[in-house]
Amino acid sequence: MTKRAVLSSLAALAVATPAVADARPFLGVTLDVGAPDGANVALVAQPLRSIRLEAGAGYNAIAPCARGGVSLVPLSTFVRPVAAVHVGRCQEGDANPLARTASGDPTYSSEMLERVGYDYATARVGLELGGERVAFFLHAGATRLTGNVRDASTEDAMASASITFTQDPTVTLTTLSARLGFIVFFK
Amino acid sequence: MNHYTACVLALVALPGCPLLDAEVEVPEVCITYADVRVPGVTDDSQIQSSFLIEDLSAIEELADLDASLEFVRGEARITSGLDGFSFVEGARLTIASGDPESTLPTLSLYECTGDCLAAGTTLALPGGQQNAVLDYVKSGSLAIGIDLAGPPPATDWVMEVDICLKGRAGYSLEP
Repeated sequence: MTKRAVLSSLAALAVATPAVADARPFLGVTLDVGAPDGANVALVAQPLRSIRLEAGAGYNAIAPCARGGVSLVPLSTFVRPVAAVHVGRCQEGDANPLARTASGDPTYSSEMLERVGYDYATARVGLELGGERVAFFLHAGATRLTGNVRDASTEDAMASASITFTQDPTVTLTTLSARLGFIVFFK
Repeated sequence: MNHYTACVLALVALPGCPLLDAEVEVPEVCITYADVRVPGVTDDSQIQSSFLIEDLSAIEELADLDASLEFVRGEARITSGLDGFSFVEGARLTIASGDPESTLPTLSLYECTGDCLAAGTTLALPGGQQNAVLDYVKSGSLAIGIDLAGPPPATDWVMEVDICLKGRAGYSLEP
């Protein structure tokens, strides 16, 4: 091979190399369980090496939920740190079965638990273990959750006074939260 | 500072945070006392009506927390015996503790003279400057007083009264 042919081949390889090295996965699926998110499945897009966007649905043991989020994955190592923020909304549902299971009292029932729904926002940090296409993760952080208390009014036919909430009370909880799951990139 | 150091510091800081921070906001809760019977009077004496509200269980839990509770408005509605509040020239709404051993003073929640908000069978009693009522709710029972000035009806009549409050309570669980 002539010197010119060798140089031409090397030049072609230099032009081609950046495209091959930049073939990172773009689209995937994540499955996770946590609080207050519940169990979720989401579609994940990775437009940049260190940024992931996700949108999905789940179930919190009371009603269906929807969730979206952004994750920052600054490193490409096998064990890598992750920071993520998510927002979600869980529809109203009857929480009495969950309360009966949690309390162990099969007869428990409360009108205030018949329509339980909430919006939430989470900010977590954690670790991810795995390769470029499959990884497991554990995140921990804080959640702010807001919901209304429905049917809090009381009316006792035997009592002379009744108490009526003309507007539903609002409950805001800020607490620790965690999420465990895995992510699979298929494209 | 590398990424791992930042993550470790963030996780170490978490134990210093409260495990749970809860806040409840109640925009308006009304206690309705029905069947307030007012006997007819034949002289020019002022109508003074009072009643006790003793079942405060629905809002006592709110009062037990780190809470604020304020009077928002009141309303009196004639349910029988009269056509309306047109006779009212002056009105005063007061609150006191229903506990006879309480040292809480009687608090004037609303007062009007000549400009009372009477419309048919409804008399509106909007909140004024002094409206913090948490201590009164904490006492376990409320003594509500309604004084009406004007030519009093000679016949017995019945009204129901709303006392509406707003409140906010917070609770924090530390590790």
